Order: sequence, then structure tokens, then C-alpha cells
Amino acid sequence: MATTVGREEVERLEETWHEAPGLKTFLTTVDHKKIGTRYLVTSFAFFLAAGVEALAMRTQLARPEAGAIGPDLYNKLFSMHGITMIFLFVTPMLNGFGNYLVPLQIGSRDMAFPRLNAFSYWVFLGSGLFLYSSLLVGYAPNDGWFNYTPLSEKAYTEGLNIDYYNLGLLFLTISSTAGAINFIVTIFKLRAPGMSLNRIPLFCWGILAQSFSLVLALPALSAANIFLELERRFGFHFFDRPRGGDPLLWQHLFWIFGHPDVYIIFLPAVGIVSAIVPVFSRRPIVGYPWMALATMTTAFIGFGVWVHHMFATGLPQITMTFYAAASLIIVIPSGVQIFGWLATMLTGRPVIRSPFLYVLGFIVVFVVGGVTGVMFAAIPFDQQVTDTFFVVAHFHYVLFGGAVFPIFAAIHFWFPKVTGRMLDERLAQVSFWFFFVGFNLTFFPMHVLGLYGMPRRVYTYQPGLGWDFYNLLATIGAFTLALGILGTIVNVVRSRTRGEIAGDDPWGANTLEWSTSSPPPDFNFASIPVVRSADPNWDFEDRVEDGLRLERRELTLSEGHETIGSSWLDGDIEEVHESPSESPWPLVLAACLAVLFALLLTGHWVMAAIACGVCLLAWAGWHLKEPGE
Amino acid sequence: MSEPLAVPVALQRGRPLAWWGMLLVLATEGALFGTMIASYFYLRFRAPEWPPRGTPEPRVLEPTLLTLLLVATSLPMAVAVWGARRQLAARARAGLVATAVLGAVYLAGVAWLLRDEWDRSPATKEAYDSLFFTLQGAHAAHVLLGVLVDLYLLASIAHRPLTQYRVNGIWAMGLYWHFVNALAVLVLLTTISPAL
Amino acid sequence: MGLLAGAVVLAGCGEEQSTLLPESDATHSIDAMWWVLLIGSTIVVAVVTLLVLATLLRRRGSLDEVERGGGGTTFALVSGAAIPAVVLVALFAYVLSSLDATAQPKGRRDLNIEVIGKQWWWEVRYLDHDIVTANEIHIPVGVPVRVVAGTADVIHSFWVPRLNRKIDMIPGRRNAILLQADRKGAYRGQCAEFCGLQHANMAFYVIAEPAQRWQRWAARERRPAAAGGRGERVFASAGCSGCHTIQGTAADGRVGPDLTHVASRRTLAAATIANDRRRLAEFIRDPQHVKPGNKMPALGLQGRRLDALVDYLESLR
Ligand code: HEA
Ligand code: HEA
Ligand code: HEC
Ligand code: CUA
Ligand SMILES: [Cu+2]
Repeated sequence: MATTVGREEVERLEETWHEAPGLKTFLTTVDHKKIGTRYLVTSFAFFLAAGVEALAMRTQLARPEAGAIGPDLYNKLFSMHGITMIFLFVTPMLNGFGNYLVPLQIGSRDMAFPRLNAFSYWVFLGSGLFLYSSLLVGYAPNDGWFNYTPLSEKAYTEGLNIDYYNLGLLFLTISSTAGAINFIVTIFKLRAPGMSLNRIPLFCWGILAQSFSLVLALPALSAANIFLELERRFGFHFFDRPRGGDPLLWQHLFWIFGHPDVYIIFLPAVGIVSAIVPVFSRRPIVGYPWMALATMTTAFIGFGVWVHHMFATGLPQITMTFYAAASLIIVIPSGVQIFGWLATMLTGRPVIRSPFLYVLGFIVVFVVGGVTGVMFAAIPFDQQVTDTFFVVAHFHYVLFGGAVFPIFAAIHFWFPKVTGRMLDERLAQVSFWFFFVGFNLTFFPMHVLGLYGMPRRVYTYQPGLGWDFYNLLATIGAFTLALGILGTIVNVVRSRTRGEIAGDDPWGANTLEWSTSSPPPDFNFASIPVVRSADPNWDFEDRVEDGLRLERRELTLSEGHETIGSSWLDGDIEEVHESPSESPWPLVLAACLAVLFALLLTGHWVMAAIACGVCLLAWAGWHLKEPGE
Repeated sequence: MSEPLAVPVALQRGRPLAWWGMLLVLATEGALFGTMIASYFYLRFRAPEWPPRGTPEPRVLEPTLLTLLLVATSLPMAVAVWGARRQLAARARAGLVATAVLGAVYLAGVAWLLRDEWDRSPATKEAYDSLFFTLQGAHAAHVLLGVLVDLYLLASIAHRPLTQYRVNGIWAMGLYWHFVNALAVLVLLTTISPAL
Repeated sequence: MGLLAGAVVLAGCGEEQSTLLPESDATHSIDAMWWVLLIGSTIVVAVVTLLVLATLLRRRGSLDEVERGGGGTTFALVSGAAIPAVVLVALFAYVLSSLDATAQPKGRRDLNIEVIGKQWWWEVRYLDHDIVTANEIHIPVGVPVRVVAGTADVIHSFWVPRLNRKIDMIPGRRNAILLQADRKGAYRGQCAEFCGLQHANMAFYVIAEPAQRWQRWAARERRPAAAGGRGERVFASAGCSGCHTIQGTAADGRVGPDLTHVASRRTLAAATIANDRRRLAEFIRDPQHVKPGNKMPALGLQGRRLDALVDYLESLR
């Protein structure tokens, strides 16, 4: 950026895209990078909350017949732990990476709907606080994260606990759905010129698969929440047998959502791994089209396996075998991905750094969780160990191993991009070993516990059943794991201001976010990059060409707050989009919704109807001014 | 690779982003209604009798006529979109007005019908009734929302030029409206099915 | 995985609730399946782990260089898709062939029992005999007994790990399962579906005994309780009879367990505590302390009245 022409262009862009720091900007910004960072920070806070809940549970379970925590509190703890980890931590955390990275990776300046993006964040924050306010008033959800009826009906759980659950999740669904739609349109319509479908970074494929699954799976959960809330509040009947309902209807609806949801969590994490493996293997990923295909296939088959959570309910054998077969088929795309990564590593020239360590840990740990998943497809074996700690072991191996390991890899990998500084590598590696050992020490013994017949969701157990030792191990492991996490937190906090300066591309990585500065400028790219392969940042001439293009004022779009719109298949330039800038309305609308849900919770129906009207007005206010006006 | 770099100015070749966004909103709405309708049939096939003993069969004639009326409003809505896209503001307005008015008539009809059904057999009686009212209610809420948005769009172009932003809004709204009408048919067929 | 195998072998005896100590055809079949699954899984995990370790042996690269191109796709597809596909088809065939061993029994058997899950205990009814008891199921050794599993409130799950897989107890459904014990013994079972506050303390025992002893037990269970004097009067006046039945007396409550032969049972309150005089008295004085949240209230019994009541209950053999 030597010459004056280029510098002038950059200055003009800075002027149009700059947001003055301050409270106003804080409340009104629509910059995907700021929103992404917020998602990351907020969901990590929820992770700590849920982690502390887990430590409390582990403390109670460390010894038989311990008295630290009574049944009522324990039930709230595991329910809030599960709900928080699934809904308020992993999914939004991965969305945070998506928010920050997707526009950068596809060479865009923002999301397709920047204001909607801000709105998604505020609603996520609002619904998270809504759910957690239940703890303050003593009515936290207490029937587990899948909340089976009839236990969750009014007759058996009288308080607001389950109303918090239903309404909180409905509220959150607004955020997740809006976010998912935003990602899909962004990835399909805002790609840099030349980025045809077969050049989209695999992380974006992961986000895409997640988003499609969210759009199609969340409604099943919403329907279940709506039905149950109507039943609890107005005496409707959906799940109570005497009046023509059926408790299994809840289970079907929940798991029609619930199983796709585990891939909603898993697939973006897989995308992270696919982003990191080639960088530290110093070669492009093996079988790119197969990896993308495997991601999408997993999402698709994921809609056809839900009954494997219901093998003990007494369904007909023929039904069960069908779903068992589907659970086996879904192994194949996962196998392709595992061996795709292994092949990449084995034919590359590895460089061992902390992000890569977390990825290697992920591969080993996830496969352990994967094979126990396969065991559940063996129907009689599942009927034996379902609802025991064996299942708890499986899902922590796949959730923690399959998603949290990649999340930690991502933290270490993209930290330099987000902050412009490096993490302390020594501390990172030490933390990793605490993390890895602690994780296995926590969750491996749970397999044994399950086999020894320990059911899940018990607040206490009797001595003499062979469970004491393994429970103690798990508890020790959990605290070891906590140390590893603490190490990472310390590292992040310290390095943010004191780390080594990173430079644009500390890892020599292959995707476009590394072609711009760290942290990226408000407008991401001075001249929109033009892409000719799936590893654009390794096309060095092309990146030099970007700089030259800036000098020629090409694709700089410095006339306004603009970005490129492209065709969904080939990524040809179609048009220039005027991208909306700061707006208070997303926050206002989210706040109105929060009021609406609070009124629904407390049963003020007339006020709630009025709040609906106010929400509509806020929506109208949002659209009153045109972007660019 | 040829130089793709000259940016075509203001030449809209694809559909607007709002349209794509709406398409996905409708995908999720479709899944929502799909699940509700699936729940209806799930409980129906587990029930010995449907509607249960002592519950009257659903009306057929009135809801069918109302649904036909609603489906007919797709025509003025199509006119509105067509007009808007060609900068024919008057057409666009006329289309939106007609849609809103007919939509409101439909809503009044549905309100009357549901009131009457409630008196015959309230939603709190059996799962059958709960499903009936939940489906109808959810759908009516979508029509209501459609009418309100329709009126808002009308207001937004009443005294102001038909900018691309407004055209995109109307375009997306048109998609929503056609979709809600298609859902109306599904909901109708589901709820009257016991009487067929 | 290797660790797991090790741990499993180390497992001593005396684990009354371990799935790894099978005592019936059904659980032998499941147990065999477990070992197959464990071995298969260990191989998969070992292969992947070795390949990960092999990566570490490769010559290191540098962050300044990349190598474009390079194969590997065939390897990924063969080992990630083709080989697993073969393994999975075989696994599926094996699963299909093993389904019958744990299938729900159709039609009646020689001995038929109905177990009804209640928050948080088990009512046990012998359908061919006039026997109602709780939290303890006696069966003759070697005889397949059909258990119909129902519920009076929320979903519970009936599970005796050493005798069979679990089966959920769902309102509006009648599921069934076979219980069979190859050897005599006491097999612990526990509720396996979360059912509220005392889900953790909703356990029971299956007592398998030789046929003759079982016959004697059944004969005794059918007999009503003998008259019990003062304790019996306390039982009636304190309000116990509103919830509990004692055959042969006026007490016919249906809320709590049938107490006609309560003293003959090994445990109290769904295997929460052992059944001895001290614990029985403690439970009656303050049931909420012993099993917080359970549905039996403290009725403020103390001193001599409590003693008389406990004397009476202890006589109900
Ligand atoms: C990220 C989340 C995640 C992921 C990825 C998975 C992956 C899988 N899960 Fe898991 N699962 C959960 C999260 C997840 N699960 C959760 C949260 C629950 C419990 C919910 C609750 O009850 O609270 C659950 C429960 C659950 C059950 C119900 C258990 C029960 O309650 O009784 C079943 C049953 O079939 C199952 C199966 C599978 C299978 C077959 C896979 C497969 O996708 C795994 C495929 C991967 C591999 C197998 C490894 C890689 C492959 C190879 C190396 C190739 C070679 C392999 C072979 C030849 C075997 N899972
Ligand atoms: C992504 C999902 C996820 C993650 C990451 C975890 C993480 C952990 N979980 Fe799990 N868990 C679930 C999802 C998850 N969980 C779900 C869905 C359920 C089922 C719920 C249900 O049955 O309904 C469940 C259930 C569950 C149970 C079973 C409860 C029961 O059935 O009775 C247990 C028991 O040990 C447990 C333990 C743990 C532990 C020890 C961790 C640890 O890994 C936690 C690690 C984190 C920390 C330890 C925090 C560390 C940080 C600090 C200490 C820093 C200091 C603090 C501050 C600065 C504030 N979890
Ligand atoms: C409101 C109903 C109610 C009343 C009154 C009541 N009980 Fe109970 N009782 C129960 C229930 C319910 C249980 C099962 C508790 C559990 O295990 O969860 C029970 C359990 C028991 C048990 C243990 C039975 C077993 O086999 O495990 C005994 C003994 C008992 N009650 C005795 C008494 C006596 C003596 C009184 C009167 C002083 C009494 N109960 C009053 C409801 C009641
Ligand atoms: Cu009954 Cu758990
Ligand atoms: Cu699943």
C-alpha cells in the first residue's frame, strides 16, 4: 500500500466504515467482528457457569451418600448444566466463530443482514439471562435438558421451572433461527468473486450444514415447547394419555430436534478441525469435495436417527432396527472425515503448535465417543446401558471431545487474528495437558460406572455397588480439567495486552482472513479479494494482485458502505449491496421481546398482547429508514 | 481467468437478499407446521376414535369457503409484487390494499368460526380439540401478521418513492403471503379430514 | 479402551447391579455383545491413535513453506468409508440376530407379575396369585417370569441389570419383559428413567430362590396379617391406614406400599435403608429426613405409641 491512490482509497473506506468507540456504538454496532467477539465472550461466560454447576455435581458424587447437595438442587444443577452447555455455550460459541470468520473467509465486508445479526446476539443474551434468572427466583428448570412429559406437566412439576424452560428456549430459538438464516444467505450470496461452491472453506461448509439443520430442526423443539406450555397454562392436551395425548409424542418431537442438534454442534466444530489440520500439515486438505460432502451428508442423515434415543420405550422391533441402521450409516461420513484428516497429516509436514495439539487430542477422544455411539446402535446393548453413566460418558466424549476440543483449538488458532497478538505457547501447551488428562480422567471412568449399573441423574448412591472409586476418579479429573481451562483463561487475558505481536498471518494459513491485517480493519478488505482455488491465501500471486487492484481502485467499493453480491453457484459478481450501518433497533426489538417473554412467564396475558404490538412497532421502526439513507 | 473486476452498477440480476432470507424463514415455518400436522396424525392414529366420542365432527363447508377466499388473495398479492418490480406504484398499492382487505375479511370469518367451534367443543376438552385450535390459531396468527405487514408496506410507499428497498420488501412479503396461503390449504385438509 | 478392559476385568464380585455379571440368557447375550463391541472398538481406537502418533514421527515442516498437491484421497475413502461399511454391515447382521434374546415376551407365561412404578417405589402384583407386595420381587430360579411394567404417575424404567435389559414404564402403555435368574441370589434393580426428587432412591431387589422355597414364600404372602393389638390401633388412629393396606385389617389405603408382610422384606422405602427395627422407627418418625421429598408425611409419632406401632409392624412377617 505504498502509493497515494491506494492510501486514499483506504482512508475513504476507513471514514465510511469507522465507528466511533463509545457507549452508543456499543449498543448500535452491526459489525460482524464485534458481534462475533461478543458471542464468544458471552457464551464462554455461560460455559464457566455450567462448568461450575458441573463441579458442584461432581463434588456431591465424589463419595457415596454425600450430603453436600440435596435432590432438589441437584436436579436443577444437572438440568441447567445440560441446557446451558448445549444451548447457551457450544452452539452460540460456534456461532461466534462463524460470525467473526465467515465474512472474512469468504471475502465479504459483513453478513447479509448485519442488523439481524446484532438482533440475534441481543436475543441470545436476553434469553440466556432469562433462563438464568430462574436460578435467582428458585425456579430453575429441574427435569433435565430433555424434559420428558408427564414429569414436566403441571401435575408433577408445579412451579415456574418448566415455564422457564419452554419460554426460554422459544425465546432463544428466535436468535438461533435468525442467525442460521443469516449465515446461509451470507455464504450463498456474498462470496468473493471466483469463490465457486467448490472453493468455500470447509469451516463455512460446517456453518452451512449447522444452519440448515437449525432451520429445519428447531421447529420440532418449538412445537414441543408450545404444546407443553399450552398444556401447562391453559389446560390443553397433547401429552396426557387420559385425554387423548401421548407422552411419547414429546419424546419424538424432542429427539427429532435433539439428534440433529448434536450434529448442529458437531459440524461447525468439524469445520474448525478441517481449517486447522491443513495449516499445520503444510498441505491442502485431502479430498476437499469429499469432506464437504461428508459434512452435508451427516447433517442430512442426522434427521433420520432420532428413535435411537428411545430404544427402551418399547417401540416395535422393526421401527428400532430401521433407526439402528441409520445410526450405523451415519458413521461413514464421520469415518471419511477422520481418515481425511489423518491422510492430510500423514502426507504433510506437521508443525506442532497448541492449536494442532488440541486437534490431535480431538481426533483420539472423538473416536472413542464415536465408537460408543456405534455400540448404542446395537439395540440390546443400548437397552442395557441407556440412561446410565455409559451414555453420559458417550456424550461427553462427543460433545466435549467433539466440540469443546475444537473450540479450544479455535481459540488458540484465531486469537492472533482477533487480537493481533500471540498466545503464550508454553502456557498453552501446559494447559493442554491438564485439559487432555483431566478430560479423560473425568469421563473415562463413567463408562465403567455405566457398565456397573449406575443410572444417570441420581443425586446420591449407596456404597458397596462398586461405584465409589470411579466416581472419585471422575471428580478428581473434573478439577484437573478445570485447571487446564483456568490456564487457558489466564493465557488469553494476559496475552491480549502483553502477547507477542502476531502480524497478518502468523501460521502461514490458507484462508482469506489471514490475507488482511490482524485485527482486521472495519471494512475487512480494502479491495475485495478475487479467488481461484480452495486455499486462496496460498495463491501468493493472487494476493499480490489484490494489492495492485487497490492501486487501480478496483473492487474497493469505496463509494459507500458496500459489499459484493455474487451468484450462489459460481461466485460471479452480481451486484453491489449497500450494507446497513449502526442501528439502535435490533437492541430495542430484542428488549421488547424480553419484556414480552417476561409477561408470558408471569401470565399477564393482556399486557403480553400489548407487548406483541410494541414488538411490531419496533420492527416497523427498524425498517422505516433505508440503509444508506 | 477473465477480468471480472468491472463492477456492474445497480444492475440487479439476482433476487434480493430479503427474498432469500424470507425463503429460509418459510422453510422453518414449513417445518413448524409440518411438525404440528405430523403430531395431529400421530395422536390420531393412536386414538380409538377420531374425533373422540361425544365431540362433533368438524365443519367442512364454512372453513373451505374461507380458505378459498384466502387463497384467492394470492392474486392481488401477485399483482402488487409485479407492479412494484416494474415501478408501477399505483398497481402495487392497489394490490396491497386488496390483499389486506380480503385478508381482514378472512380473519373475521375465522374468528367467528373458531368462536363457534369453541362453544361446541373447547380446546381444553381433548387432544383432538387442542390440536384443532392450535393449528387454526397458529395459522390465523400468520395471516394476521401478514395483514399487518402488508399495511405497513402500504404506508411505507404511500408518500414516498418506490425505492429498491421497498420493492424488495414487497417481493419478500409476496413470497410469505403465497406460502401462508398454501399452508392454509394444508391446515384445512388436516382439520377437516375426519369429516371427509 | 484398553484401560476399560482392564478395569472391567478387575471388577470383583459382589456388585449386585453390574451389567458385567450376567445371570440369564438375555444378559449373557448382551454381555457377549458387549465384548464383541469392546474388541471391535478397541481396534478402531487403536488404529486411529497409532496413525495420530505416526504423524508425530514425520519430518517436521515449517510455517513458511507449503506443499500444494499430494494424494491421500483413496486412502481416506478406503479406510474411512469402504472398510467401515463392511464392518458395519456385519455388525448390523449380528444385531439383527441377537434381537430375540431381549425381545418383549408376547402372551402369558407360567408366572406373571405386574410391576407398577410409583414416585418413588414399586408396587408388585402377582397376576396368577393373590399377592401384592412392594420393592421386592421373589421368583423361582430358572423360570422365565413375565413382568408387565406399568406406571401410576410419571415415566419410570424397570431395570435389573444382571437379569435383563431395561424397559420403560410409560403411562398408557403396557410393556413387558422376561425375568429369569440362572442362580439363586439377590439381584438389585433400580429405576433408570429420571422421575423426580427421589429417582436416586427408587431401587428394589429381585430374590431368586429354589422353587420350593418360592412356593413357601408365596403361600405366606397370601395369608392376611394376624391381629396386632395396640400397635394395630395406633396404625388405624394415627392415619397410616389412609395410605397403606394391611390385609386382614381395616387398613386399605392405596397410596403407599402394602404392609401386610413388611417385616419379611429386606429393605425399606424402595431399598433406601435396610429393614431393621431402628431404621423402621426412624423412617416412621421422620420419613422426610430419610428420603427427602418422598410422599409419606411425618405424623408426629413418638415414644410408646411409636414403639407399639413398630412392634406391630415388626410382627408382620
Ligand atoms: C456432538 C455430539 C454428538 C455426536 C457427534 C454423536 C455421535 C453419535 N452418536 Fe451420540 N449422543 C449425543 C451427542 C452426540 N453423538 C448426546 C448429547 C447424547 C445423549 C443425549 C441424552 O440422552 O442426554 C447421545 C446419545 C446417543 C444415543 C442414545 C443413547 C441412549 O440414550 O441410549 C445413540 C444411539 O444410537 C447415539 C449414537 C451416536 C452415533 C452412532 C454417533 C456417530 O455419529 C458417531 C460416528 C463416529 C465414529 C464412529 C468415529 C469415527 C469413525 C471411524 C474412525 C470409522 C471407523 C468406525 C467404525 C467401523 C465403527 N448417541
Ligand atoms: C457441551 C456440552 C457439555 C460439556 C462441555 C460438559 C462438561 C462437563 N460435564 Fe456435562 N452434561 C452435558 C453437556 C456437557 N457437559 C449434558 C447435555 C448433560 C445431560 C444433562 C441432563 O441429564 O439433562 C450433562 C450431564 C453431566 C453429568 C451427569 C449428571 C447426572 O446425570 O447426574 C455430569 C456428572 O458428572 C457432568 C459433568 C460434567 C463435567 C465435570 C464437565 C466439565 O468438562 C466442565 C468443565 C468446565 C469447568 C470445570 C469450568 C472451569 C472453569 C473454572 C473453574 C474457572 C474458574 C471460574 C471462574 C473464573 C468463574 N455432566
Ligand atoms: C400420605 C400417605 C401416607 C401416610 C399417611 C403414611 N404413609 Fe407410609 N408410605 C407412604 C408412601 C408413599 C411410601 C413409599 C415411600 C417411598 O419409598 O418413596 C410409604 C412407605 C412406608 C413404609 C416402607 C414400606 C416399604 O416396604 O418400603 C412403611 C413401613 C410405612 N410407610 C409405614 C407407615 C406408617 C407406620 C404410617 C403411619 C404412622 C404411614 N406409613 C403413613 C405413604 C404414607
Ligand atoms: Cu422412577 Cu426414576
Ligand atoms: Cu442421537
